Amino acid sequence: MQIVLEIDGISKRYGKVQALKPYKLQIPKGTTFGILGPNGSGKTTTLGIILGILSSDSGGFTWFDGQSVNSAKKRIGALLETPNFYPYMTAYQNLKLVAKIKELQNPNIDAVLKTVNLHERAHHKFKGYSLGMKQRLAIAASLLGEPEVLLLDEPTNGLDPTGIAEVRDLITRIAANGTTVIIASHILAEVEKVCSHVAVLQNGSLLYSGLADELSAKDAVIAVASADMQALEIAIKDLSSLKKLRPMDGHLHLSFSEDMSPSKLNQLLAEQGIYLSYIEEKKASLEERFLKILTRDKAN
Amino acid sequence: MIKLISIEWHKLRYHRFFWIGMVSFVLLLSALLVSFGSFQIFGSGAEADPNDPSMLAIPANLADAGFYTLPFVWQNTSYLAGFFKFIPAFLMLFFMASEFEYRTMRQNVIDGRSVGEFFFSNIFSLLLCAFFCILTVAITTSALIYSYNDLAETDFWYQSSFIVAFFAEVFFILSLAFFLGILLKKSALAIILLVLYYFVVEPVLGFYVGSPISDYLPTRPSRNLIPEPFTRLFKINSFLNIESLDSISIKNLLVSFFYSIILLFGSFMVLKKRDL
Repeated sequence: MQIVLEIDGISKRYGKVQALKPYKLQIPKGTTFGILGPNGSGKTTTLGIILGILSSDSGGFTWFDGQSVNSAKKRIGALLETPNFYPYMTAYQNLKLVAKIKELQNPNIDAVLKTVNLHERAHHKFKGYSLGMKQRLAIAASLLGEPEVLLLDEPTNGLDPTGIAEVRDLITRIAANGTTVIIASHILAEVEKVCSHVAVLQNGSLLYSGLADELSAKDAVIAVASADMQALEIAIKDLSSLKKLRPMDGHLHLSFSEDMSPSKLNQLLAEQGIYLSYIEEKKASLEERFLKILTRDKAN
Repeated sequence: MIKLISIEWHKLRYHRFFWIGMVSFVLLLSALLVSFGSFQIFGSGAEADPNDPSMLAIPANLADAGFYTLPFVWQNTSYLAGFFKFIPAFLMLFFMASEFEYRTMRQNVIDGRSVGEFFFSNIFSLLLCAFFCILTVAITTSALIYSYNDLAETDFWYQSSFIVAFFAEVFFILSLAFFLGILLKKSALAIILLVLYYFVVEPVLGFYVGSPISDYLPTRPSRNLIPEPFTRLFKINSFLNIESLDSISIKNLLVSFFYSIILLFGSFMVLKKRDL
């Protein structure tokens, strides 16, 4: 597995606030990697450091095979926070400037403008653009030169629902082509729908990193019901691996400390003469899991 | 190098405000230089009194007084042009501060430029601006020399070193504007501070510390580079017994360049140290 980006103990302090505590993270090539976290969790600080616009107080990071940051950045398309362009230039002129900086020989300016539906406004000045158009131009700029890595910070910021769906679709298409996509966002739905890998940040600490599937598979809950709920509850409380029992909506929500499949549970209960009228395995959604990680961290 | 200039030129060429400013600078300055000679002199028409040596003949206007005559013309035009240096300086300041106001420098770096590349390509803008000023004065002065002088008698380039002094003066004020634009990131604030420092803080400070220390305050060498030409023009110095400079002071030239380099180096350090 090739590693596109390796983060090794970067950290950042602003005065008394430790914005980012040292952590390690590897981003494999070809993945769609989500960096999740509420506002102020250190997402943008992380991206700022790996793009060389913020200095890290400790540690370091490596792009590709240890290429210098400035030449690595020419292989990366990045959108960081707000779209920043020269207000007096048109969209086309702005993208031409970006292409010059990235040293692109035949920049696909018209194509990227078409991708974000700005081709009709290509020769209008940037200062007249609406927030959504500015955001779309920023996405277009990040797509210039078909970069190997696409780095997007809150990519759907300021977009209307149609725009959000378009961007999500676009990210999925780009990822399907083998481009490594890194998305930072506080919107779980955004990450859940497109990302294969997730890292969760809060208060500058890395709380989790791994496969998005694993994150949602952990702590599966089995919901059960039977004609005699009292008998069911007594029988379940006898199970040694039971971790938590919670009545909810006429069902019992169970979690277990060891592997427990619905069929195994059904079998165990049937042996005791209890027949279920309802059984469902509820995989925690990324959102529930995410909130769980955050609250667990607060409790500590 | 060519890449740096090409990027910088791309930023400049579409900047309408910058070009409107530069064109008005050229028009205003050349118009003033050309029309200055026809300005009436107070008390003109008086005849010299052979019995009273203090009674001098007063010419009708500045052109008659020799304003456009070699070798004085170089000093006269570059001195006057000095008053206009604030136009390119403010444009430079706007140009630099807007890179921070619109966070475009940050975007440049995200897109793959180093801070050094950004800095040196902006130095290109600064030099371009300075040469633009020099060219305006040089071309206007040349035109004036051709129309008011008999070149068979005098050397065209005699005392033209004042144009070098003018370059140093412009280079200094552009460097100061460049530095303040980068340091303060807000053009309005930077302009106020620049004007306040140039016209209030330093003169007052200079008054308190006195000569010779006041001669080495940052803006002083560039101000003193081109001496005021009128006492020399009207030969007032001859009877007041003061010596007018007819060439530039190498010391002022060097100190002025020294301060400019310090300011540019300071700008580079600010950029280098700052989180974008």
